[in-house]
Amino acid sequence: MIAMRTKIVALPIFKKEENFMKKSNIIKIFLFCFFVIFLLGCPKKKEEKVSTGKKVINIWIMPNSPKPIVDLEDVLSDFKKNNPDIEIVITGIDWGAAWSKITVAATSGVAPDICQLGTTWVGTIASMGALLPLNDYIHEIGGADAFLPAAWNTSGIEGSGIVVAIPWFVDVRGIYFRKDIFEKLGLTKKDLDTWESFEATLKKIKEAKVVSDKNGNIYVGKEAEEILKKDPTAKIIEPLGIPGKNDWNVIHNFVPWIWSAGGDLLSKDRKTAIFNSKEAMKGILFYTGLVRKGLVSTKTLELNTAQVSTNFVNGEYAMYFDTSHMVKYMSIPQSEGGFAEGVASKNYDIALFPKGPAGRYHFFGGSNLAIFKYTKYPKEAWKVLAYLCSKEAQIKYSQKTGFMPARKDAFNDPYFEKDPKRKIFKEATKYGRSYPCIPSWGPIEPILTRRLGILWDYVAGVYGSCTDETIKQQIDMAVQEVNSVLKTTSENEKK
Amino acid sequence: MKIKSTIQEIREKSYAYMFILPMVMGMLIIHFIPMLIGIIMSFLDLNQYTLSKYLSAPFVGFRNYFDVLFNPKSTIRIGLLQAVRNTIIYTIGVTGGTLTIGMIVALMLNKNFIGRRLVRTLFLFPWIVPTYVTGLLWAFIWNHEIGVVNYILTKVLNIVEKPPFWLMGPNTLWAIIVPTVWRYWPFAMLMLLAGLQTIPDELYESASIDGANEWQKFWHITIPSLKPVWSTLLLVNLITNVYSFNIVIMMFGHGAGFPGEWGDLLMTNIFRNSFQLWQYSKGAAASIVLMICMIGIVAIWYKLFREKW
Repeated sequence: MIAMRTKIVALPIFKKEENFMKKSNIIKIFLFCFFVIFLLGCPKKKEEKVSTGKKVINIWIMPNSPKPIVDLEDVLSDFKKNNPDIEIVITGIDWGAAWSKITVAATSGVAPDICQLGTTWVGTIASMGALLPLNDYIHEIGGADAFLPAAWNTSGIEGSGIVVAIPWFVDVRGIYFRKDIFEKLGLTKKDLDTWESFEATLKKIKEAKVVSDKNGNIYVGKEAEEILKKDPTAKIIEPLGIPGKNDWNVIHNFVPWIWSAGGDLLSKDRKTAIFNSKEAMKGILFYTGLVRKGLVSTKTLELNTAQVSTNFVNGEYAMYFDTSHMVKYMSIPQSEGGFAEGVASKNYDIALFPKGPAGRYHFFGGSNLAIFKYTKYPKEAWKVLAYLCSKEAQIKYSQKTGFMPARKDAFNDPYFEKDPKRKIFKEATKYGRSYPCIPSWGPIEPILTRRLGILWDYVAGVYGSCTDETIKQQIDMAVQEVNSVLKTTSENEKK
Repeated sequence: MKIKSTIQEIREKSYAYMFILPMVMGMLIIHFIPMLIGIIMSFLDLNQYTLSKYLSAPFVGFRNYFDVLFNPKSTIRIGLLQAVRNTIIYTIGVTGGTLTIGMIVALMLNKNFIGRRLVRTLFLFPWIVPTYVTGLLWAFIWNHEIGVVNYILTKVLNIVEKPPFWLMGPNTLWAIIVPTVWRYWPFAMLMLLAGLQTIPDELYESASIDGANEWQKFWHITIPSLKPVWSTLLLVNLITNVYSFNIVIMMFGHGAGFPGEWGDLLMTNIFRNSFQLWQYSKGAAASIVLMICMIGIVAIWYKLFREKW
């Protein structure tokens, strides 16, 4: 051992100064090379693909359908044939990451040519001055008149007169209900027509204690009691399922009730939040009252839309609210990402939102297409965008995604006319209303989503009994926060 | 003369400097430059309108700090006290839980028994699970209707008649503390076990001869001998938990909504205000305030532990 240790200590590098210097120089050179390689290895800006001399148009889209990129490529196939000089590169971005990615793109200039924008984002992104004004082009696709008014309202900042984002598809919602349960209880679609009849229907379903077995068969009365005793898998169906948390839809589900009661979210000059007004509170109290009256189980309030829709498909609820895309998903087999095998999938119908004291309103969301001003090929980008917003492309895309087209003329297609369920959504577009397209909407929406989520905590009773005053208090807090954003925005706009 | 000797010393130790250079460069690029930019940002008015100007955005002095700390109408201030309260409870809960469970299991695994290695490997399982999976998994475990926790409480143990909500209201805090403890105790256990194996058996034998019982041995030998390990773990846990973010995001909607009043931590509050409400400067100011507080905590730690090692 001693000999071995001596041998190690006696290595030339540690003993002889000259050798050590030589070695240390080698190490220095090695480290220098390492640094050079490290610095050279830092990513450069991606080279644009110009393999065949084609003009490359990059598009960012969100997952709008089960196979987002393949589906859009399919929609664009005819365009590609007719425009061989344009190469289209589609990039899919997740909804969760889209907001930050798009805002970084808008501010940094490293952006795609065309980008899908959620309708509620348009005002904010447009305020950053990153989008190409499209006023000179829109006559080619029929202008404002060709589109559904509520969808066109989201094409640019309210009152600016500048169009920056063309409506691509709309997200319009309806009431999905179980036909078999309605038939069993002698209910019809008409029983969902007004707030009063809607509430009475929920009450009737609740009191009937409708029971479903594992095969989705419906039982009421004594039959139901017997099956509950015999079959441990049998369950009582809840009248309505509504998501309460962790979901952007929380606010989208609230707002039709506020509008139907004659209230609104913001004042007409868009400087103050008014959803704590008497009218708005009427809508909020009606909607939250469904839970407080026991017509909606508090269990659903910790769920998001995806969980609620899965529960509906599995036969947990008699009704729930969702967008038109579920019609598509309930026709796709499970193996392809759909719910065709679900208990509710063959036994459902759709109704309009109930009419309130001030009328009937459906929330209008969806997505628009915008061109970033940093594009090298604005004409080609517009050509692609115009194609995607044409009647044919919108119908084709609607068939892929299940969302409704934003063009009025697309609804004349038999695809929407002949299918009774899609026809309901076509009718719902008449009552469509969208959020104000203003720069501050981007920050307002997360506040409302969180605050209304907290409101559901109170309604669910986790803090004790929930009164009208409790709800008003929570809404006032949301109003205070939104007003703070509006004030900051107004100060910035003045600057 | 002094300069010459310094240069001489640097030359002599150039070899060492060359080795630490990559780390220094990395620290500069990854830590110090962004931190400096953060400090600058906290004095600017950087929002959706001025973001393209970046560091040329208008200078507003200490206004962002005022908004964060004293302006009751500022959105970041509205939820700040709740976030501070939650972060303190969360940090104490997770740090205490992690170290306690880590210590108990380390003491168990320090004994010789058949299958010790297998048990030790299995115990490391939660630590190697990604936070993403931990968040999703526990979101199901806490679920009001189908969650395992409520099933055990209501059907197995029968101690609760009405199943509680874990993802709503004040219970949210437990819903994020428990998964974090579950994920990080194996690391504490590993470190403490390594420390336990360095304590000479002679110390325990001498204590036994002197008539010390197990508790006295633990308190007077194990705890002081492991002080360098548990005090370091304490510091690492405090810092990590104050800056905790992932578990909340993963359990509550991936940024859509965030949990209610009892699940909002300082980092989720800062993130929401910075990147969803576009108040980058206020977010930066809140981060700097938090950093200063953490420097204070680290200084206290140094005072209490480091000097006495």
